[in-house]
Amino acid sequence: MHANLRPVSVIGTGMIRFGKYRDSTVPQLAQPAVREALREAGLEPRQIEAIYAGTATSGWMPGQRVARDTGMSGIPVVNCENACSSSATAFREAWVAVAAGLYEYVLVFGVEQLTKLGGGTLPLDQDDIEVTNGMVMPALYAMRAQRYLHDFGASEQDLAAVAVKAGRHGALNPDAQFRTETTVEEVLASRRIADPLTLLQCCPTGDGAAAVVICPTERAATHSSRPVRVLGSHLASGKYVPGFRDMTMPEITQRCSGELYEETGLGPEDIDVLECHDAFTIAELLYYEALGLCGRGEAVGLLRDGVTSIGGRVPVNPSGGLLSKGHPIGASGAAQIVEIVRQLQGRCEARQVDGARVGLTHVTGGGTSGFDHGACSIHMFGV
Amino acid sequence: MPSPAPAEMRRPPATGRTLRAADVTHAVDGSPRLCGAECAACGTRIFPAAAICPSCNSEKMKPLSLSGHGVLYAFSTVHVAPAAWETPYTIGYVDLPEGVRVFGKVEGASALVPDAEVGVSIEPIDDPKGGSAPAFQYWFTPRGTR
Repeated sequence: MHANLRPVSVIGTGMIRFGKYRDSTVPQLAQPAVREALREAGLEPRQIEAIYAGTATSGWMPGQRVARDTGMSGIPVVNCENACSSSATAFREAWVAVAAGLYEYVLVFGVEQLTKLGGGTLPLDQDDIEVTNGMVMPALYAMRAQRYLHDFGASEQDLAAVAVKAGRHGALNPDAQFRTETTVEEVLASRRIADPLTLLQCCPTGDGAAAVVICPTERAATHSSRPVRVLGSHLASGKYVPGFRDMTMPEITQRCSGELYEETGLGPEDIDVLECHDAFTIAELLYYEALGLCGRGEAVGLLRDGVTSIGGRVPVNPSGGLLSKGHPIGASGAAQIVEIVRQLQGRCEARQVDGARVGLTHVTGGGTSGFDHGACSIHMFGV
Repeated sequence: MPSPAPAEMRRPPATGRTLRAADVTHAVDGSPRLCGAECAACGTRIFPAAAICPSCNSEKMKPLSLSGHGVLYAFSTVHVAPAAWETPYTIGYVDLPEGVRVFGKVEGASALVPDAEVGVSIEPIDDPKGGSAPAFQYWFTPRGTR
């Protein structure tokens, strides 16, 4: 931790169940999550000193639009966009501001309404040579999957097993978009999207919002019986590589997590629970390795042995992850933080990871040609 | 979901972005080649070409003629894509001997596996903007076929 920054804690969390809300407005999606976080923190809206908001596709000024309807207009607002890392970036910037002493009470939220885009693949940068030659996000991940299966002798069943675990966890989460379990056979038989990825191996189109309230750790006990400390925060951008790149080792995640582990003095062996960016089944397997949970080619075994299921040594995506909980992209960063904070507070009931004391959240974001991804934001929390 | 574009409007993505004249050069035998760039200051090689080196910010970027063949690193057949595109289509990444990775449409994918040798095909097409500017499209095929 940087010497000049004071410790920060999370004192309030809120989110809405992810799903399809075509008839809502963006402020209507965010407001319940924001109000829940304020209630948990025991704060009136007028006590919030700044808002950091994240969205990728849902219009400009989400912070102000929500502040207006929730008694917070007039305070400084920063709206962050980093594709799927938008609200994790918002959280990081809020953390920096509170840690530096600018503010005492700050609200962070993420919101996204993908149903307004009409479904299908996300619209990408039309000036990018890859996009105009047929690149879509599922195809990018599909190529990673093809290469991983080829290099490490994994199977399509191994990919499908990630979705099966996500469904099992999501069934335990009242806020998950999908709350039904599935089987390897069902996953592999679902509609082909980009070979070898099928529909149930891809995160769904959906809407959602999640929020947290933070304050300096020294104040946290007066607001929460179980405040959760921010142990570390790290943000990275992809390195442009115009030539050969090993697509089975996500460099931005490896670099971002490595730097965070170094800063905090904590490593993957210290993590009790984590939420990672499982936008597609292959992603979760690659991230086990890139986050250092296991060595190259060992991810399939980790999943198969139950290490990353609730009840295992390091449950991954107890919320159901992006695959089952959903992935309204600008809201996902904040939603992961809500899940990990609640896990560390022991509030997760059927999906509780017993004895969790250190948790990690990991999102990546978008990209353009020559990049692993555009952004990556990782946070570590502890009680 | 919006309804798909009428059949006559749908086109494969290979024609969605055409190469400019600057992206194509010709080998001594007259066959077309992709043309990238190499930085005279730091040696970074890219495709497509750019005026400024993305590694060292130098303006000393020189044209670099790229080989007409390479190694297919990974590919995927896409079944769901933006409405204006005709699916299924196959795309992939090819590593050219000059150290540049190029993304593009792949024909004949049923005969291909990762690390297969592929050839680069380039064809002139009508300027999509309706003018007279030279335009090209490119795609990859199993080596020895078109």
